[in-house]
Amino acid sequence: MSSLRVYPDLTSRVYPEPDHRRIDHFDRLPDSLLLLVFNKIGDVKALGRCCVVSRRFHSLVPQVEKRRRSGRLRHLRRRFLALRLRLRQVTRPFSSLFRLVFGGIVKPLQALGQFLGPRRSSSSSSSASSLAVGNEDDGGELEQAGVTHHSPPRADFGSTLDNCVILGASSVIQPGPNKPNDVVSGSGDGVCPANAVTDDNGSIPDSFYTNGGLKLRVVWTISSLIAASARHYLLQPIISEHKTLEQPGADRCRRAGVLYMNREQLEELRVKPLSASSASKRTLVPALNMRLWVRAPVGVAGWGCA
Amino acid sequence: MVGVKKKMVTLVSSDGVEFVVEKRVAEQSLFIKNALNEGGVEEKVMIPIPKVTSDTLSSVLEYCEKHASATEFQENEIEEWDKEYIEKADLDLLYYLLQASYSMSIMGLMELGAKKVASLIRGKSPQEIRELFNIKNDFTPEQEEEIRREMQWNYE
Repeated sequence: MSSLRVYPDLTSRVYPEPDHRRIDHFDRLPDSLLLLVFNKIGDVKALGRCCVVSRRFHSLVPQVEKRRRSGRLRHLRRRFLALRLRLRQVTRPFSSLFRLVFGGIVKPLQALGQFLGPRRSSSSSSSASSLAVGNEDDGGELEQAGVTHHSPPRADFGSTLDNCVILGASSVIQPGPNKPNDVVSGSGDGVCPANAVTDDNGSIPDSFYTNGGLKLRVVWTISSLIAASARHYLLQPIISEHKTLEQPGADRCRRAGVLYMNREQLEELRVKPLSASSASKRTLVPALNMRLWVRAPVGVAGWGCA
Repeated sequence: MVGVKKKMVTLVSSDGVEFVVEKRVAEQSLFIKNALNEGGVEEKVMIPIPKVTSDTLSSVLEYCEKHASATEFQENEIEEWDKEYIEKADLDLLYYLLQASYSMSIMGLMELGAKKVASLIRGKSPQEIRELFNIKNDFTPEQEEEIRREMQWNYE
């Protein structure tokens, strides 16, 4: 083996001098034997390093992967998903950045709350209270770019959609960086700091129907429902697999909103498999009652922006 | 003829050395077992073992001998023996043993050798692996860098 040290740099290795004492130990071994060796390594990192050794290794190692790692990966993925279900609070580095960048800019505030009425007869005030919960969790979720601001929905699911709350805003006023939760009343866009809970349909301006405002809300609603039902569909196998899971609470990620299931709803899903529209890989959304509230500026505490 | 049971076969290595061993020892190799079954002749069997030199073959037969009488030993005893056997093989012999066990279809030896090689690879850097086994690095530096990066994503 001492002869190895004579060729320390790689370039000379490409054209090694013929030396019958220096045999490439793998050169004449068949692929299947090499695979057997890789299978015995059993360490993902070591396998990774093997990829870099030579072209032949690089082409063979992934074949080990499929057989060897897939089981482990699937297991890890399952654990990860189960863990994520339990995580309600996700730190969001972006929200503070957002506040910093846009903090000084004042835009006319025209927040619009949209509530999709409950299928089961929950009153408007109850959906409003669940809205508050959803908002608190979703601090800083408003989209930065573009004219429209569309908050993630909060959706309650059993076997199918029970209840869904969507809050959308067409623009946002940023408070000063020093007083993040204040509502800044800006231009004359009918500013009246309002409480989201107040059930008041009288304030919809006529222009709402003509300038595409209504259409925009419908698009928001549909996209929110699609997102929510798709996520519910994806969660279903995990929930039925983890019998002990009681509080998935919210599975959510940025912009995707909150998907909420309580214990009864979980049980319902386990007992009664979901009705999926097979082609779309989404949970079928049942016939809905929709209610739309349009509000002039709304102060929302805990959003990180007005 | 008292020891009727002891049928012998003669194995001929690639460099022409003859090894006379008991049939049950030789039959540790599926290759030889099949050859014997096909031949159906018991007397004076000569089986050439191409590609396997006498040095390697004697080591292989040492393994076969032990495992042919494996039933006489405790399981952990044979494990210990295996460990010692493969430990004392140097890298070249290890390589030849792997090759021989493959061509002669001796599954146990193949497993043993593969396990040993795997243990040598584990914990080494790609360059160390190349040096140990005299493997040519046939990547260009750019390719290697790319694969290194890809590897970090996939495996770390």
